[in-house]
Amino acid sequence: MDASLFFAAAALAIVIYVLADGFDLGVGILFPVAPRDEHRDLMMESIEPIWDGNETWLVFGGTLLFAAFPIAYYVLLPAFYLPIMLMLFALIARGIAFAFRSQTTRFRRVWDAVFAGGSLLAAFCQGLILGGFIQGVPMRDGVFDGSSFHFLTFLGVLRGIGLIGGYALLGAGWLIWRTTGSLQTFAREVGHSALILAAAAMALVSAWTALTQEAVASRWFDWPNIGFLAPVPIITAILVVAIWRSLWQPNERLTFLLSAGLFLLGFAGLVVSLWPYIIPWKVTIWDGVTDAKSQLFVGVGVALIMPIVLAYQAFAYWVLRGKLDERRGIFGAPFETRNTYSRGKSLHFSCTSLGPAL
Amino acid sequence: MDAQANRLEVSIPRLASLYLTHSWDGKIGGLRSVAPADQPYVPLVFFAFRIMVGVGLILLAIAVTGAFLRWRGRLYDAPWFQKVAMAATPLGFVAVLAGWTVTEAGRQPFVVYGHLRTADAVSPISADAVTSTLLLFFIVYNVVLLAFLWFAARTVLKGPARTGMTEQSPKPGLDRAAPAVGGARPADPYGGPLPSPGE
Repeated sequence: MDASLFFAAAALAIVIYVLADGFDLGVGILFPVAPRDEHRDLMMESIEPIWDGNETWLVFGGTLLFAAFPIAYYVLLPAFYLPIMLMLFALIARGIAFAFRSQTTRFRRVWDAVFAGGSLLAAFCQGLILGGFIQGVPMRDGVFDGSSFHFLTFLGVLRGIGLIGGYALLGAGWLIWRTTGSLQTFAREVGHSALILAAAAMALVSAWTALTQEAVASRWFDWPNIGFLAPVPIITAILVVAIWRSLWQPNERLTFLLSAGLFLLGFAGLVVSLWPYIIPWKVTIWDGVTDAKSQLFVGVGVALIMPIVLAYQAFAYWVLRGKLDERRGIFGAPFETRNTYSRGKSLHFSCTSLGPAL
Repeated sequence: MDAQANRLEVSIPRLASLYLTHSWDGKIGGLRSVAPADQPYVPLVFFAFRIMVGVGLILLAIAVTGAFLRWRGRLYDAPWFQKVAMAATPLGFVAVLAGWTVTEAGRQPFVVYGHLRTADAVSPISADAVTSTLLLFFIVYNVVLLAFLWFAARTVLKGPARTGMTEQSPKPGLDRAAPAVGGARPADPYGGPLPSPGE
């Protein structure tokens, strides 16, 4: 089996993670700017059945890295120990907020802040990791050789801000798609700011990387590559304009789909810049791939598990398709118990209200 | 520990041989067959193992007692037993933690027994970074524990919702004297009617 197959599987897991957890993190990022508590209830409800399924792909990606590219795992995890742990804490806090926010009236503001802060911090940490990754990781004798704060780079901060904007854009696209009325209007409005933030950060990051990373610059600007790759930034620019124009259009899925396209282009740009390195400029995927026996073991496992996970997640999304209020219509009244009009319901009733949805 | 001797023991001959080597006359290498440099800190493993097994025996005794009381039809009339069962609730956690201590401490000084020593497996992460995240884990988990206790206590203190169940059986749980299920309202797994939309 070729290492590029494992790279493709890992890339797929990362792309699905970024798109799937991206929009639910984005909904969390938009949480504090939503106008009313009722909107926040609906926003949380729109992602409650799926957010943890989306995070499956983070685990999948990490495990695949551990099994298929062990050197990347044991070099990159120590190198990004602090931002990775911080991201996990943010995701943990966010998960707790999902469970506790609906149980309380007095501490609702606290859980609001935990949910929004967790989403924001997780997105920012992912940007820090990505930025540090592209700038390169110091290695000696095959292990990480640097300080705990080596991850902290200007590019990382820029990418963190860009990811916050990008995830917020995905979240807005999701809300436009899945909600109606004043919440949808809010999502359409806030989508503009998110797009400006994402596009500006994307342009800055690209320019900064091209200026400071010679290897990346030569990959993009040397002949004949520039002939093939010149369309990429042009398509990206066209896509940004298209998203801007989609925000007030009657086709409610368009913003989400185009934003996903923007992320795909960004990821493609990343692969073009770094290929074939699994640790930039030091270890290629062929040098970093695990030995033949483990490859067989991991390959069989991935070939079995990945389609199953994809299938049941697709099924879950299909079950939960449509507008949020239509979904309420399908499953009847119990969802009503989860909104603000009946705050402070006991744990007991929340369980019953979740029952039919599952 | 330096004497490499256990001064107090009750032994069942051949039992360990049976379950470790699956034969009646198997040879089990004791602690003395392991070089001192490859030995774990024995008192920790020694007592953790005995705590684990001791708790297991206590729980087994409680289970057998409960089965006996149930058989005699006195399970719901023995408050002393119910108090014992309540008091035993945390013991499972104690056993799990002790058992975990046995495996982790007992495997030292290796992470992969016989192949990779713990000292060689340390990653190049600074101890300060690990300490700070460990501290964070400690804080987060305790906050979650407190929040859980808060919400659980509130739910428990509120008590179960009124249902038709109480009319059938004055005692909680299953009861041999209770009428057969036929004709009775099927048990609601959530113990209450769904709230009406306006509630």
